[in-house]
Amino acid sequence: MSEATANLAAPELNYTSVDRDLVKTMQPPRRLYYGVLAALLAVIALGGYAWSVQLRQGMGVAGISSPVGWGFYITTFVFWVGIAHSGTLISAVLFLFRVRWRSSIYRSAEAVTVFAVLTAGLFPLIHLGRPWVAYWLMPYKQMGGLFPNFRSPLVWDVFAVSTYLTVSALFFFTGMVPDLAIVRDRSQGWREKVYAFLAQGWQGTNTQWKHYTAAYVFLAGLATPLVISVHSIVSWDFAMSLNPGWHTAIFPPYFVAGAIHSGLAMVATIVIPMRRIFGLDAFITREHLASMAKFMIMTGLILGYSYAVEFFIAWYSNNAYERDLFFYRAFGDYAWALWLLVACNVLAPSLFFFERVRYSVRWLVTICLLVNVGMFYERFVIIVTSLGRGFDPFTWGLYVPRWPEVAILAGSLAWFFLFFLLFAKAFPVVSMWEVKEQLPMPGGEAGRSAMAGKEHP
Amino acid sequence: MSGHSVIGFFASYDLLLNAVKSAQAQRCGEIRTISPVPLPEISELLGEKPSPVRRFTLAGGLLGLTVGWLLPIGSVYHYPLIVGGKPLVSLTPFAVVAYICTILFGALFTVLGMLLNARLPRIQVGRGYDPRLTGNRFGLQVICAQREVQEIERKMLDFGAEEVKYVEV
Repeated sequence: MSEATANLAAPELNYTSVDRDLVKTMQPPRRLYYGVLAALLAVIALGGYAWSVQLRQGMGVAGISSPVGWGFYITTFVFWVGIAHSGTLISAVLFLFRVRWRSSIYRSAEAVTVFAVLTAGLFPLIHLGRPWVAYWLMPYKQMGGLFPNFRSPLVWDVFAVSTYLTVSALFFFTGMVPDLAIVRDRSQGWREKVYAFLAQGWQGTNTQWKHYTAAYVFLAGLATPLVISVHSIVSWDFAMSLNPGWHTAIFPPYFVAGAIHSGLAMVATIVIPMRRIFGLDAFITREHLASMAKFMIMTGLILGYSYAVEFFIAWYSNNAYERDLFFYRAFGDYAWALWLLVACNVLAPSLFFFERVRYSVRWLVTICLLVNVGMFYERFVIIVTSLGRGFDPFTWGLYVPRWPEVAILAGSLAWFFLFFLLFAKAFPVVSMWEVKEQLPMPGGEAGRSAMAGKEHP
Repeated sequence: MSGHSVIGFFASYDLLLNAVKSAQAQRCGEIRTISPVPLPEISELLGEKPSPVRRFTLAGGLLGLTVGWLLPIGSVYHYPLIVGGKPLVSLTPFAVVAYICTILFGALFTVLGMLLNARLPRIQVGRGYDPRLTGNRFGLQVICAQREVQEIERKMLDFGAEEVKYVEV
């Protein structure tokens, strides 16, 4: 992308308008906001009720059974962990590479990360059936002096996902501190007290900025390997087993690319309506959205290549079980899901090659929604077909989700959007200090921004 | 111990930069700036040393690496149980735990280092702090002796400050 197109903000922005326009997004909400809030709470209540039915009556109310013991719950877990990858990619990786278009969208992307991990974390508990013994996964000396098995990918998962949540939340909150000080300085009454507490006495002295920017770079550096490792570890939940279709070395890069693909789609799905509702066109320009679309072309192509390589390996390996499984995926009971995901994840984003599609908000929303659907079904196909079509034909079986699983999936979507809705009214949705950093400084040389200087020592 | 300081408010970054240079040249006293964005050029001008936060990150990472190895190795010696015919100390799977703990502790110590060095969290903002300084104004604070206050105030106005304020620190 050229520097000209990378320029983030509309020319009318300045330090004063940035503060004014972004603090305005936190004004008391209108009736529509409360209506949406009530609808989300109702769907969460439905999901909660479905879970309570499962707790009272047992796992038999769900469609998971032998041979498909991992159904919608683990599919949804992997889906949400994947969604979580966008935030760290946009906030940390693109920060280290000094990609300028990230500054207006990274706050929302980080929020997506934190809320998606919080949502993902529910599903192992729901899938357990007996969530009250979930603490057995914690690394402590248990009954008889036995620790968890550290060779198990499921224990790695606990470490990876909880670390990801901790580091993402730290990065998210640390990045917000100077903005919370701005909000504190423009609030009154109890709101001022709350934001003063959250801003921790931030003033913006040169000493504070020096340590802050240093910490921010190191946090970004530490979060970057997590982008690769977390979904690699999730992929090992599958790849470390011996099931056909799972035991393959391509899984980690394939899962990471898929996670970034779905994460970007979810960020765009959220950012576009938010831009419209809050009138943030000057901050989140079409260039930003087009840049995300370009990124999705790349991740979509990587995914398309991965899908093709999976089939190629199955054929080239000359392994009867692998060949049969992939033939089954393409033409068997769940073939519709496979072709749906190929259409949604690979073909639809390739429309972004056309500039008209890339710059069209309607097309962008439509394609991103399709990618969200496609990425859910990608995990569904991986999980269900491999478990339902194992080595022994005598154990083959089908999986059909039942209403509690569907209700809990819907509840998880509502849970995620509820968090975002609350966030959008309580915190600045765009990073004020980083947007200012890229604007010409007040009264300074024309076009000179704080970014023009060197890095902090 | 209480001291004295003068804060000058500048409408532009260029004025602030010149003011810092002049204040340094005239040895006005201890200087600090307050700004809505980080100003690395000023830090360089003030000859600030690199932030020690990196040492916290390194210490946290090394501690995490140690804990990440000791936890699984200690646990298998504590309760020796062969699983799947693998050796008790299986380095490859344990490396995953060590890797994650390195990142976790590194991140926690980084934030701790930032908080300690930046003297955060604080219950209240410092005296003389002005909300304009998180908005669109730049502040230059000079800490000086009481007898120098008036002279510094005059100099600040000469440097181009649109307003000066005396603050006890």
